Amino acid sequence: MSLITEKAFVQQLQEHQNLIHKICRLYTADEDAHKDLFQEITIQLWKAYPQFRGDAKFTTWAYRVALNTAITLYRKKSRTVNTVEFDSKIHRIDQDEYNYEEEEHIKQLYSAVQQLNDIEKALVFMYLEDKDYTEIAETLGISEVNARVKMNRIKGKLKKILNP
Amino acid sequence: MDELDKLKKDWNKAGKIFPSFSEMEIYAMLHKKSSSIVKWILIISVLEFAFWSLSAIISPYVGTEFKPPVFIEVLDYINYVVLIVFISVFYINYKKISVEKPVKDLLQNIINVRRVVKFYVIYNLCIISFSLICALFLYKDNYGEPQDSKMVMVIGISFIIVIFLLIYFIYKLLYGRLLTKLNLNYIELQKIKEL
Repeated sequence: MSLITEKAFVQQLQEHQNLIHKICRLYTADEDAHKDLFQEITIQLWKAYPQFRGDAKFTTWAYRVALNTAITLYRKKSRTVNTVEFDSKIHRIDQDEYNYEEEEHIKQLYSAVQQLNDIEKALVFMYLEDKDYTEIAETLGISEVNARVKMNRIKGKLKKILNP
Repeated sequence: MDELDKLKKDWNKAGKIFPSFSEMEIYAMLHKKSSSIVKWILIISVLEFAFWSLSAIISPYVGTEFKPPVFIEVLDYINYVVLIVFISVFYINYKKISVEKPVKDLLQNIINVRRVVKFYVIYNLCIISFSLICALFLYKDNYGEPQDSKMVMVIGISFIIVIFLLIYFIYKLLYGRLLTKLNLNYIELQKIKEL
């Protein structure tokens, strides 16, 4: 691919990198794994870039490739994971905006989502990103009705995790 | 407001708390090597094709005075055709893998790629076992003393069983970790379909 294409891709990715970070946040538990997954997603996006048609939104295309990478292609490297340290690091940054109780609750919510399986995390991600059920169903390759039913079950599962 | 809606409020602020990668850092990432499952499946599959093709092509009679019967020679030619068919199907399935597809289709494609190689290995194991059994009978008929024949058969069959078990465990080790996540996710999507 030409240097111009490479530059355009890097600029678009840099602008929309939060989207990738959010996916890495759900699928990894420590900083190193977060960076590894971000890198693998970047490589997969770059490989698929020739198929990206300009008429589609870059973010819509990118989140599909990124989710597929997190769910199917990414191979976790074995290393010692320090989840607690990673979580507290992330939440310490914006502690000014929350009171302690709220911050603690959000932390518990993230930790509950971490306990879901890969497919459930994908549904949660798309729900948090305000995607409609048609898009959720299409991205996962299931029916819209199934996506709705599964989403309701995930909500129930999260409630159970939070209030055992 | 349910739990997820509470999380959604925080979610939209989440972007700003991550360290942002510069354009230079992203450029560097583009030129790093991928360590994706598909890449590893491709590498292992090519090695498998090479190994099993060589095992099937190298005749056990090379270097001996023994002339194999015609049906063994025919089997050798059939093996070449089968190898070409397997490699073609493998390549077609591999080309179908696209990271832009729905998750379920992508998982299905990767599993299909793997399945072709698995069948090829099973096919080769059957051919090799069949050749070994034929070799045992031919040896028994041509050179073996009648009193030795029972022992030769027992040793031969035990040898085949040991090879099968060894290959089974190597496969469990090799693919166990690589494919567990993929299979689990595929089963989860199948379950959702049944809701």
